[in-house]
Amino acid sequence: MLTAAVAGLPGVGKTMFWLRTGSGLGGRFLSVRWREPDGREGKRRMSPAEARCRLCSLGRHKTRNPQWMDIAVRRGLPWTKVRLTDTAGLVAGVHPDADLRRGMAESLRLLTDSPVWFHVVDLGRLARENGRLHEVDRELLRYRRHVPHYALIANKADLPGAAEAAERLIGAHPDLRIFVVSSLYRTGFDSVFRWLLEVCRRTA
Amino acid sequence: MPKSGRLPDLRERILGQYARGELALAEALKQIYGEGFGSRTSPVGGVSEEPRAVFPVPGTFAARHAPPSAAVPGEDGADLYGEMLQELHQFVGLGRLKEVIQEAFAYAEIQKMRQALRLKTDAIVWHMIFRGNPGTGKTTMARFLAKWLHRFGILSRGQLVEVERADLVGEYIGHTAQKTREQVRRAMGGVLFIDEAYSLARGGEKDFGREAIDTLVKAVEDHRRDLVVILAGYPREMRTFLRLNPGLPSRFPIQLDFDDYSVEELLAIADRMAAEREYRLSPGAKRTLAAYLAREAERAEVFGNARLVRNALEKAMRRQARRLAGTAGLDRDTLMTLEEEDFRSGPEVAWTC
Ligand SMILES: Nc1nc2c(ncn2[C@@H]2O[C@H](COP(=O)(O)OP(=O)(O)OP(=O)(O)O)[C@@H](O)[C@H]2O)c(=O)[nH]1
Ligand SMILES: Nc1ncnc2c1ncn2[C@@H]1O[C@H](COP(=O)(O)OP(=O)(O)OP(=O)(O)O)[C@@H](O)[C@H]1O
Ligand SMILES: [Mg+2]
Ligand SMILES: [Mg+2]
Repeated sequence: MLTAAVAGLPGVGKTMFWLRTGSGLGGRFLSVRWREPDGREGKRRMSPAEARCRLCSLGRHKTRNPQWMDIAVRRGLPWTKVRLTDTAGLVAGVHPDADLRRGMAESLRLLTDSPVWFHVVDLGRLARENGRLHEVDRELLRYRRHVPHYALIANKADLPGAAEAAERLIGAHPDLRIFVVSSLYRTGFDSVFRWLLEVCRRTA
Repeated sequence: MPKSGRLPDLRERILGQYARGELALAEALKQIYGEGFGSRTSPVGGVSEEPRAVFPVPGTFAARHAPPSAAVPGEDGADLYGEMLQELHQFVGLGRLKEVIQEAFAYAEIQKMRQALRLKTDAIVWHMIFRGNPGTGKTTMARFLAKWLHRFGILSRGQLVEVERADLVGEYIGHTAQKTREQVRRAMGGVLFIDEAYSLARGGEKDFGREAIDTLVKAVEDHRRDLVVILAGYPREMRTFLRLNPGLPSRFPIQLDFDDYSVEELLAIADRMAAEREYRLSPGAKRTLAAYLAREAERAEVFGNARLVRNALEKAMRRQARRLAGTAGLDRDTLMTLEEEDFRSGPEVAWTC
């Protein structure tokens, strides 16, 4: 089984990207799983709309613990099983909330176990910051060579200023695989799927 | 499949330290992977640290000249204004903000006196915008205002209704306006406090958040009396939100900035919080807490502010309990005092000393 994990700052749209990717690859229903505090695995079947309602939010730190879905990718041969993992948003400092820190540590564990990373950044934020990446993003990028398949997901392409921000980002990182998407409006996912299927094929 | 450069048990140790707050992200990654590859992620097109915006407070309440002693006896004959001031000054720090609130109440008070003498009066619009990081006292201040606006006779009930996006935004067309109006109805006679207000506008064009904003704008226009709406949130996000919704600032004329507290202010807050709970800090405890706060302040980004102090204090109270439990004949003083060691690191403590 191939694991692909989503990483990034809180509130950049990791969960929404993860749901879009999951529903694009999988069937009409999503089987979302997580680890309960007692160690057992929790599971819930949801429609994409319900999942979005339950799992995404406008504040930060909606996702406090990792969650994943296992998907049998049936396009092309051989079939592959992919575990898509969503993680808690990471902060640069030490977060005062101990539970959240545990969730972040758990996220870091799954990330460091995963050969595929979708590192999500928010283009709206990038535009506001004059193209300057957040400290957390710079830290994650620093270790990208340790990750066999690293993709930067430039999300929220629908926001004002996003197009320019995406252009500058691509210009500044010619060596990086960057996908420009809007998870909200589901644009730009075709090339994400194509790349992920290619990775599946190569690792199968 | 593990791709991390280090042995699994070493990684576990690092993750454990990260979970306990002994390591920040950069250090944890570095220890897991070894040195990173200098990434070419220099800022594109110049770094610009945006200056901290200080919004001009509209001169409407330039009641600076009304001496604080211009107090009128309230209905119950009490010196309301003086009492309010005294409670306001219990807040640690927040100098500029307290001034604005004091002015607004002074102005309201003077209007009341003028009204009594049949002079022309001008109603204050009390709708407000709060900008501040988490734990800077926004909610506490909202509660203070609800109470005092009520006691001043400006609000008939004085309740605080705290809502967020989910309470206002619905799932289909029309649902949002209905939900928002319902919250406005609950808040009538009191304060409607909308935390993370920008979350209303974050979903793009097709988002129902828009509808909530429009309904709110209509509500603040319709209810200039007997309802106060406060939009609150983190400074940076609030700034963007207001820029994208140019109709809002004029309808929310009182804009308050909750600055981050200095370490000294946080220590004063700690003293107050401890006193409220009938505890006190020994000098050694204060020193340890101060050192911890100074270190946290350095790491900046998630400097937890008053909330950080509260967490530290509550943790210390639990550790004190553990230290003292089983000892017979404890006196009042011992039970009230938090010692240095109660603030030191331990298995469940989020920092190292
Ligand atoms: N405009 C726009 N908004 C988006 C997009 N993707 C996500 N969002 C919004 O961004 C907010 C955060 O989305 P989430 O998916 O919950 O973000 P997250 O990164 O998982 O956040 P945490 O779990 O808190 O760390 C939500 O309000 C989404 O509606 C996008 O492509 N465009
Ligand atoms: N200036 C102050 N003086 C004394 N105590 C304070 C002050 N500011 C905050 N506190 C205390 O700090 C705690 C946190 O404050 P509060 O919940 O109001 O913060 P907040 O800004 O609403 O945070 P958030 O935005 O995260 O909800 C409260 O217990 C409050 O009593
Ligand atoms: Mg999430
Ligand atoms: Mg609050």
